[in-house]
Amino acid sequence: MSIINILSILIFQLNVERQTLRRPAMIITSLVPDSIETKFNFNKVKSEEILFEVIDRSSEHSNECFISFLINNSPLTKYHSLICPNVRKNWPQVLTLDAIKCAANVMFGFNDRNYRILYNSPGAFASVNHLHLHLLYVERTLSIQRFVSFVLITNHLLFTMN
Amino acid sequence: MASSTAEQTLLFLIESMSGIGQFTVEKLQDYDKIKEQLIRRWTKLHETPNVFRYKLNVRNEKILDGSFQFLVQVYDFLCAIFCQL
Repeated sequence: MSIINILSILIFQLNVERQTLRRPAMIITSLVPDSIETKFNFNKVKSEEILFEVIDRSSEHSNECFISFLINNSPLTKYHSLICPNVRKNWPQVLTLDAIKCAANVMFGFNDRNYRILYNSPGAFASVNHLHLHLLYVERTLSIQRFVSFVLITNHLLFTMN
Repeated sequence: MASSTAEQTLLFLIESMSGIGQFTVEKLQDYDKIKEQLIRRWTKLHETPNVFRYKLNVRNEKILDGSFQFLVQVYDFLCAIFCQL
């Protein structure tokens, strides 16, 4: 059983066989590895694991975003997918403003509260040190959605929650 | 690649070598079609042998008593508990 504590709200996952059937986790010793190319990365997945690719030009205020949508072949929910911004640039698993903008566009574009986008960092169970976010589908309202959010910096997508 | 209609702005290009679909999103509403494609293709791949490491098959689910209202879902290979409102 793994326990993840997010802002005092607990999400539990009891994985019976996932630990043996999922892709072996990569040992991540540095946020900026010497070379992502030589290790497993999301450019090396089997072609059938690639759902499609999206070129997002919807934002007037930022550059276009190239997003690869992959299946998560060890899914937690139906439609569990990986969102890989600019996957061919081999960025490490460090959340960037561009990646947040890409994810926000997907979230606003999907316009469906059952979809959630999550980021897990190295040291927090990220198994591949190549920039990716998780797209999950849960047909329930989760506790985190009862938080009230406040704008932390005006005109920026940065919020604090109470 | 500016286009006038939703159908034109959402271009589905089949890459001849890989068969990977590629969409261009000009406005956020175009993601409606992306979502449809995700559901369709994910479901198709899930039904295809040897793509996923295991099949998701919800056997049962239950909301536990208590303030956290945990949602418990039992799959063939997975038991997931989500925290519900």
